[in-house]
Amino acid sequence: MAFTAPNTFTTLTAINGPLLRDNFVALRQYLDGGVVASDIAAATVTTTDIVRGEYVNVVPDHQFTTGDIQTQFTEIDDFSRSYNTSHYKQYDLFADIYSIIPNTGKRIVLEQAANVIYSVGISGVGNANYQLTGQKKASKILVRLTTGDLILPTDDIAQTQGYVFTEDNVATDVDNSGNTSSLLFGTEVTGFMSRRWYCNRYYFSLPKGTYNISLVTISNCDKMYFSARNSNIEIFYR
Amino acid sequence: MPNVSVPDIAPGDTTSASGTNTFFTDLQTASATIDGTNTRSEWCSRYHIDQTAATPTFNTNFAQVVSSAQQVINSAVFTQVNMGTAFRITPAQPIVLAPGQVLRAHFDTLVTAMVTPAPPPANFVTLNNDCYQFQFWYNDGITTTNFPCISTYSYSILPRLDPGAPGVPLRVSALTKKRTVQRVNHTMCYVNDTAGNLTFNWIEVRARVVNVAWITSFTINQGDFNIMVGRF
Repeated sequence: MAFTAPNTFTTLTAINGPLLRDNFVALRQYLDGGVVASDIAAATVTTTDIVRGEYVNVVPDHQFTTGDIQTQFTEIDDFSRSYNTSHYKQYDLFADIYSIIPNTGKRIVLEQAANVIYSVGISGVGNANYQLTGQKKASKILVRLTTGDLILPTDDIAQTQGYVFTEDNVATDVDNSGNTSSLLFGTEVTGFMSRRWYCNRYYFSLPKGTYNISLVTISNCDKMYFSARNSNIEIFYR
Repeated sequence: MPNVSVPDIAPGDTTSASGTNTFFTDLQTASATIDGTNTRSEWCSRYHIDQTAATPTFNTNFAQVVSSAQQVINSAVFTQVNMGTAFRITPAQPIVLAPGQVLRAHFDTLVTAMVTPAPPPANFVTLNNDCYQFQFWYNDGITTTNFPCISTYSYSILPRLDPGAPGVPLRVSALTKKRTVQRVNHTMCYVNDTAGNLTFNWIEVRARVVNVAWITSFTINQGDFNIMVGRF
C-alpha cells in the first residue's frame, strides 16, 4: 500500500522531534522494500524497465519473455549413427515395445509452470528382418514425455506418430511400384515407404518440475540406424 | 508520479507544522502513483512478476489442437483440416499482433494413405499435379483469407520432364513409385511488419490436392496444431 506518515503536527504546537523522526523512519522503510504492485500506475512498466537476458542464454533477449532455447543435438555427419534392432524384443520380434533413440532427448527443469515446444528431425535407415521374411512391418517413431523414473503408456504421444523405415516385398507388389509395405495398419497398404525423414514440433503446457523429452522407436528391422539428428527445446515462462 | 517538493527551510526558520504535514501528505499521495519517472531502467526482473495465478503475462495465446481420428481430403480447393476435431484455434479474445510481434503456427501430421488413378494420367509429371498442400488461414473479423506460405508435398516420384523437349528419348521406368506414410508439417513465423495492429479471430489449417486427376484423395491421421504469439 502507499506510504502513510504515522504522525501529523498541529499548528502553534512545537514539533516533537521523535515524532518527526518516526515519520522519516516510516518513509525509509517504505522506500526500502515497502513498495507494492498497487502503488505502481497501470501500464507503466515498459521494455526499458525489464532486465535483459543473461549472456549465458542463446539469445540476449528478455529471459522470461522469450524463454530458454536448449539445443540438444545437431548432427549431420553421415557416420554419426545410433544403431537399433528388433532383437531387443526377445520373445516376439514384432511386439510393440519402444526403445529410446540415443541423443534425441533432454532432461529439463521448469522452475515454474511453462509452455514448452519440442522440435525434432531425424532420419532412419534399416534393412530386412531376415528372421521374419514372411512378415514385414514399418518401424514406428514418436515423441515421449516422462517425469520421474516411471514410464507410463500415456507418456508416448500418439499424435506425433511417424514411420521412419519399412521393408519392401516385391513379391506382393500390387501397384507395379516395385515395392510395397505390409501389415502396417492390419491391412495391406501399398506404397513406397522406405527411408522416411521424421519431423515434428509439439507443444506442451507443463507445471513446474523435471521432465525428459525424447524420441522412441519400435524397431522392426534386423539392423537399422538413425542419423542426421536435430532437436531443440524452447521454454516459455508465462 | 507527481513531483514532491521539499520544504525550503533555512537556518533560523521556525519549523512549520503545516509545511511539514504538507510534505508528508504529498509523499503519501505520490507514493500511490509510482511510474517510469521514478524507477531505474531494468529494475523489473522475473521476481517482480506475479505468476501465482499462472496467467500468461508476456508469451501468450498458446493453444493446441490434436487429432482423434483420420481425415480423407479429396478436394482441389483448400479445405479445413478436421481429424476428429476441427483444426481451428479460436482464442477467447482475438489475438492482437502489434507491429514487430510474431505469430507462430505449427502443424504436423502423418499421411497414411493415397488413392490415385491407375495408371496415372501421363508418364511425366508437370507442374505440381502429383502434389498435396497445406496452408494456414485466418479471420480478422471482416475477411477470411490465407497466410501467404504454402507447404507442398508430392506423392509420386515420377520423373518431371517436358515430354516435348528435343533430344535423345529418355528411358522412363514403367514402374510408378508412390511416396506415402510420411510425416509432413507446415510451419509459419508471421511478423507484423505493418505500422498498425493486426487482429486474428481464429486461425486454422487447410489442405488440398493440387489436381484431382492425379490424386483422388489422401488420408491424414495423428497430427497436432499449435500457435503462440511472441511479445516483447
